Amino acid sequence: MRSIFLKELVQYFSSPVFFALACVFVGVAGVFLYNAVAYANLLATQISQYQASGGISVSAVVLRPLFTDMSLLVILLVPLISMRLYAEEKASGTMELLFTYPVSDLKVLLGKYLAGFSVFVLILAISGFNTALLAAATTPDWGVILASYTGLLLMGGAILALGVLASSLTRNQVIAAAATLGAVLVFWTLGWFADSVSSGYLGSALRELSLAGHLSRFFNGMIMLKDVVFYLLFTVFFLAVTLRVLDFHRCRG
Amino acid sequence: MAPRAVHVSSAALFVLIFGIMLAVVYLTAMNHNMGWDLSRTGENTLDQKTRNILAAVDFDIRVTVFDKPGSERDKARDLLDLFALESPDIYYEFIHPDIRPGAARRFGIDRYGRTVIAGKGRQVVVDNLTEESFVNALLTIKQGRKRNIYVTYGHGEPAINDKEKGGLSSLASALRKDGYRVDGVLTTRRDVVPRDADLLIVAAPRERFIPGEIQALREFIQQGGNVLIAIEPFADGGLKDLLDEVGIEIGDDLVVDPANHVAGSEATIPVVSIYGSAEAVAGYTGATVFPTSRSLVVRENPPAGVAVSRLARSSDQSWAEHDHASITGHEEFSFDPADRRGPLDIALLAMVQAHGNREAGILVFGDADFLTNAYFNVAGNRNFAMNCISAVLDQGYLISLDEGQPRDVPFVLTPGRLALMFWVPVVVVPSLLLFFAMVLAWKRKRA
Repeated sequence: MRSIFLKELVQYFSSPVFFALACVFVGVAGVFLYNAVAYANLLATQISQYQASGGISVSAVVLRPLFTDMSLLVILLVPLISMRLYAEEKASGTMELLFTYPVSDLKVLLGKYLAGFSVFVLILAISGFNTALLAAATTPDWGVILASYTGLLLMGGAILALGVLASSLTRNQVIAAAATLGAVLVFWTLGWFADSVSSGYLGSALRELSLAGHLSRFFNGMIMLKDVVFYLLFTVFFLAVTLRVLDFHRCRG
Repeated sequence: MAPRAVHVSSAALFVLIFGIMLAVVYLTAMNHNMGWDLSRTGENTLDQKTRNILAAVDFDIRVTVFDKPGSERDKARDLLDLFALESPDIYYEFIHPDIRPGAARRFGIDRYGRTVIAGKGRQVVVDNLTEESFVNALLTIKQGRKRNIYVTYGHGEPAINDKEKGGLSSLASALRKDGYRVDGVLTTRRDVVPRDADLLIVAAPRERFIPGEIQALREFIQQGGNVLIAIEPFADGGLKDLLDEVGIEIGDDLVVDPANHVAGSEATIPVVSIYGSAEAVAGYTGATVFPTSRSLVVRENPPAGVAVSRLARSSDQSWAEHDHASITGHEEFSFDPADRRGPLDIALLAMVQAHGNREAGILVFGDADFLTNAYFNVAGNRNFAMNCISAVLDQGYLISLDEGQPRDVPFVLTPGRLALMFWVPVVVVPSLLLFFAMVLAWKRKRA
């Protein structure tokens, strides 16, 4: 598993794609940060005309909008990380070679998944440096920042698992990314459809299945067991389904 | 069956069974949900009063939020999740009023965001679900009716709708937030205390109550009515004899505490942090400010059927100043042998056996300023006053030991720092990453 993990990492870092993705993600997140900070600054200036302290809730005015915007970026970013994991092997004809490795499908899958997840973590970590700049302006609530990044990591990991499944189903990376994005958007908006479908158990189930529904609490600085469990189970489910798909490919030859 | 069909159906079966297993795990996590609030200000931690009330609720609470999907509904859901963490008896659902107009009509819902809170066969509709509105609704459901608090006027007392420094609007607002109905009462006109009064507040009367009013107060206490009397130094409103009957003497003095007073002020604004063991103040550690207070004395031999307990005392370095020249500002305060040495009682609670095996609670404060808008939200004054009132109204779950934390912090950006917030995240870091991408692309092209 370790060799697969390292091989995937080398492939990510030896192509310009990682740096290009990181450049776009960190740059756009930087624009979001600047917008939030500039607005907070304007608000604090206006408030200071009435109150001596000019105090604002940094969590409400800066952090929450920032992380909400960043979650949308994660939705766009992760399918681009996951799209190549299996689709590239299929397109280049190395999938069969992969099946001949003296390691189980599970270990190959975990190696690839963890490599993709490491790339995602690294990009988030670079954006975290930008967030730390907030300390130049105020005393940010590090607890809220920690919880928000935990939420983004868990959601990113869940989307990555979905992306790995999509990548295992096609040889075309663009199709894999588009399918992942489409599926994520469906899971993201499930809670919105719940009202139209039913107000009973089905509606509640759809709301609980919504990717977005479990995220807002993290951005408030709250980590709830059910939210963490949801994202972990979401990840486990799609990785398990991917394993079945790989098994199907292997049997089909 | 063809091998491919076998594979597909076994994969489908696997997905179904595995999905069900994970759903069971998730439902277990939901039923044993826990939360960790990492925010510094405790934004996701319910107020202690809310937790007390939820712990005291012994019936199912059904909450129906009528709203369309969006951030407001998400906020309501997050709040309900916090309530559900504290109480397993809370069930909630969301209804889109446009999609299910019948349900909305049944509850009389005519706008987005209205929430129906139901329990014990009663229901309360709130316009906007907040921790405060939820608590109020729970109290109304639990008690069946709102408790009535009347505040006397007509003797020069500050008014409950007066928003100036000397008014009582902050006190009235805090009481209403805790679910009480607050109104003024002119006892001189009616000579009686309203029948539905659960508590009568007499705060800073400058004029004397007439004998008929005093008798009405006495009868109210004898019937088990609760009274809060807050009197300023040298203006007892003619209530001295009535207080004497419940075992409390009021001193014609001014409490001076040179060691424990508000910084930058005179020693006549003592800061109190010594509390008794009564339920209202047990465990309370906040500081309470009593600007210009008179001392109270517990009679050595209280009348039969009366039990007096201490609520708040000044420090042992304080004294009760009797010297008129000092009090009027003509001389410096100094301890004389005629003055009584501290600690001095500033707040007392007398429990009086009333008719019909009932008990009346008489809260007596040697100061009324601490209840006015100027001081109500200073230090722990608000919590102290509200806890005392909750205790006499036998609503122990409304007692809070929380001091509350400031949630806003200064946000100051110089133009230079604002520019830094633009250049580093938007230009410098992405440019570096772009540079690496271009170098790698160039290398690959050359290879």
